[in-house]
Amino acid sequence: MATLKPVALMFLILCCLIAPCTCTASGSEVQAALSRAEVGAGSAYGSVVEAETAGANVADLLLRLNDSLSMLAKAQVQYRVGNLDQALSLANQCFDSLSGIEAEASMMRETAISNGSQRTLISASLSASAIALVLASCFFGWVLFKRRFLRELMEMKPEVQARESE
Amino acid sequence: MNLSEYRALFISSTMILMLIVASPTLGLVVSLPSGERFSELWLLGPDHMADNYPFNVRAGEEYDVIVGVSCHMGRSAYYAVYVKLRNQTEPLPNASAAVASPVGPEYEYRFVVAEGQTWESKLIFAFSDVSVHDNVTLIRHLSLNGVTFEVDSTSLWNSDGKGFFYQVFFELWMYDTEAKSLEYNNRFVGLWLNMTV
Repeated sequence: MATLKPVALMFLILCCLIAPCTCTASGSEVQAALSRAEVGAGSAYGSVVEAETAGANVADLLLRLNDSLSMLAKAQVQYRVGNLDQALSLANQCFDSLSGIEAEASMMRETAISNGSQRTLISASLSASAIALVLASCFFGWVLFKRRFLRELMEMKPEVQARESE
Repeated sequence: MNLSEYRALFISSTMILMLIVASPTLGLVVSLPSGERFSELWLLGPDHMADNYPFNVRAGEEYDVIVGVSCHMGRSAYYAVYVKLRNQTEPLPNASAAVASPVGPEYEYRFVVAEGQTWESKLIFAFSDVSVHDNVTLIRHLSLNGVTFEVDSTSLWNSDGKGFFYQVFFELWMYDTEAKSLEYNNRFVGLWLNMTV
């Protein structure tokens, strides 16, 4: 019994020392997680906007980004009220969800750029062909018109001369 | 009409036809200048109308308002709305210098809004631990959407308005992709409250 007491006391002290380290996040740890999530959110948003500008349909990505941003806002609020564990957990969850968004946005951007240039090429080819067709039609139309116009003009001349000779 | 006039007519018709035919491709290549880009921020009462805003408030009761944001930035925008509480002497944002209020935020919203779309959310707020000593009122706790904040905010009796006035105000911040940070968008809306005990 006498030997058990110091062991129990030691165990109790160890528990007291370890417990706060494992259960409670430190302020600096939470701040680091929050700033990491902030940077991640900005970066993911930037990628989504780039994909959107390239012409990709980002509606689904925006929904997911909104979920992540909502988590980040909650993490900030929990940090402000001193609930560090919850703040850390939310900030980490937010960061994890953001990496998927950024990767998908980059992929969608590449696809949109490729599709866009293909679409531009097809459109340009069709327009060039149509312009050539318009030019050719107008040129031949003009040649025919000019020929007919001159013929009609030539046919009119004798009558004018005849009237003048009278 | 003589032949040269007919030729001019043919050339102009051909040009017009060429422009019509090339317009789908020109639309892809040429970008026209867009209109003014801006964001909207508004506050509505509990009935989703600009009416029945809470004014005379007391401790222990819940009140709600609706905050909304609309995006006309020509692309999706990432916003933050900071909810702050001030008394009559604490500064509001400086609109001419486009500087946010130095009063620290309590609650916040973060979200993205697609071009031409709107975002709205209900804010439920309540005060607790409110006390009055002589002509000063003290609010110890403010609850926003179920989260309780320690505010410790005092307000002096306003003899003109006959009340202890506080203002809950909302600042709009927008993410700047070049600065890589949230920047104050120079827009805020506020709600005056008279603390009755």
